[in-house]
Amino acid sequence: MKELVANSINQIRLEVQGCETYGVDVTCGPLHFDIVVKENASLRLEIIRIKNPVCSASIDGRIDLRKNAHLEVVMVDFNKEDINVDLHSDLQEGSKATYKVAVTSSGHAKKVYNFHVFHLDPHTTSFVKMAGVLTDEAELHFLGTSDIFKGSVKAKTRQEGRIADLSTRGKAEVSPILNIDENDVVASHGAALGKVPDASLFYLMSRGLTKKEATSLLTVGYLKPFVMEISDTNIRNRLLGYVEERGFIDD
Amino acid sequence: MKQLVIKNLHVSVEGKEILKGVNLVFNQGDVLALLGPNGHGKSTLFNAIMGHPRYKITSGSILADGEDVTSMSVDERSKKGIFMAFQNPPEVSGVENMDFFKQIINSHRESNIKLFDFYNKLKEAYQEVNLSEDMNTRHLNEGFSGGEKKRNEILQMLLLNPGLVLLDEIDSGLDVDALQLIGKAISKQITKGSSFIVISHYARLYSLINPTRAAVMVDGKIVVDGGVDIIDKVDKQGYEWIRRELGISIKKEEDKPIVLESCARNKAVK
Repeated sequence: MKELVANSINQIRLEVQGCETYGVDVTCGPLHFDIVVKENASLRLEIIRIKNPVCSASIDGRIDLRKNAHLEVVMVDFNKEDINVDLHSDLQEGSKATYKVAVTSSGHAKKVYNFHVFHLDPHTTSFVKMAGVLTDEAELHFLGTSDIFKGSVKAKTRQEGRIADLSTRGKAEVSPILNIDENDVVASHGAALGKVPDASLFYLMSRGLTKKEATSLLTVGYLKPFVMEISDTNIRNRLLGYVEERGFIDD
Repeated sequence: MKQLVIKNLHVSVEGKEILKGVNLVFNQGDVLALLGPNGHGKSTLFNAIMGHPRYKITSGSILADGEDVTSMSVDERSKKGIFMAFQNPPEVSGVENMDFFKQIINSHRESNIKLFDFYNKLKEAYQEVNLSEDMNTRHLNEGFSGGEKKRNEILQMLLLNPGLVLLDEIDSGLDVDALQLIGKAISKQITKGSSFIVISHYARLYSLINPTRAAVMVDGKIVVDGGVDIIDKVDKQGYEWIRRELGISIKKEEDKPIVLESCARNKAVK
């Protein structure tokens, strides 16, 4: 996997022709994406933000998909500082975009994630799935919008967000939005927010797990499937270790 | 657990009283068939014994060997030897079966089980309920068929070897072969000394596990507590005879209102 590094004006510019996988290590400050996945090309982008450094970050810009292009974004963010993510994707005919995002927000962090997908043409597909764990007095906002333009027949989209709220005085928001101007489409959205589900918690505790053991098992379950998507073994194991040690839940 | 004594138990759910004074003395080795029409408090009794937070005990006590379990947390009750097989086990995504099984076994032990012993124990349990070991890497109950979920409940019972087992309609959604299998697993657990309270609407399960006694719950109370001949009577005649012989009227379950899901937007600000 090749690493993408920003240029001197914090831009990541890229035109993907073939079938590429890139990693992005999000450090400090702003990061502007200007990426085009060309016709029939495919891009897999793994965006990591680990526990350090201690500084806020932002990501904005576009990842556009030409005809029959494929995009898969996996983002894992376990940093304790603020971040604002606002990425837009234009989808041309036959293209498919998938975003899978796992986030922990703790301390006093404020994290906002917004993925806006524009279905411009027929047979376009988008799938946005975000999972988060909120602790302490942090904030976590999952905003996702799919716009399906008129004439984009057979378009498919799903916007999904889940936050497990373990915070004392935190703020959580999940707001998946669908704007649809075409009849012949498949579109759905799902939002789940709350303490870990009571039914699951009761079930696990009824088998002998303490509330804390059950809660951490459930939140690990939220994040682990996303971490498993990271292709670099070293990075994956490092993130997995963090998840399994429940680094985001204070004792 | 040698004895479970339930004294004048009153339980409310969201302000509505469901159990209205349940009395029951239950001894080690008892296998009790708990009968009664839908919506009259059988599952509520189980949830109250297990400690579901939605089920509020307003008065009365549940004593396990003289110790009041109502002040115990749910996991403490499990460690005390109480096990409830859920009527509708929840799907827990992200939690792999095998990780979960290992953790629940260890939660009931002083020191962690040796890996080799764990694999053997698990293999044996899988065979007993006829589930494939492929289930190990699947997430807990996620995407399981109705029958698989029920068998997974019994599998957990086998792993934990509890003193008191509460079975809530374990036979619903099972085909005939699976029912035979589950019946056999339960009978085996009975020979190991576990006591059972079994809710079922069908005599078939009872005929496989041979209960030692039977009780009928109507309107939040145990109205009949006696021998196993009651099972046959209910199977053949329903509950009409209770009204006739005991003069107790049976209200039908209320029609539940239909609630439409709200649009997918959620916001919580404390």
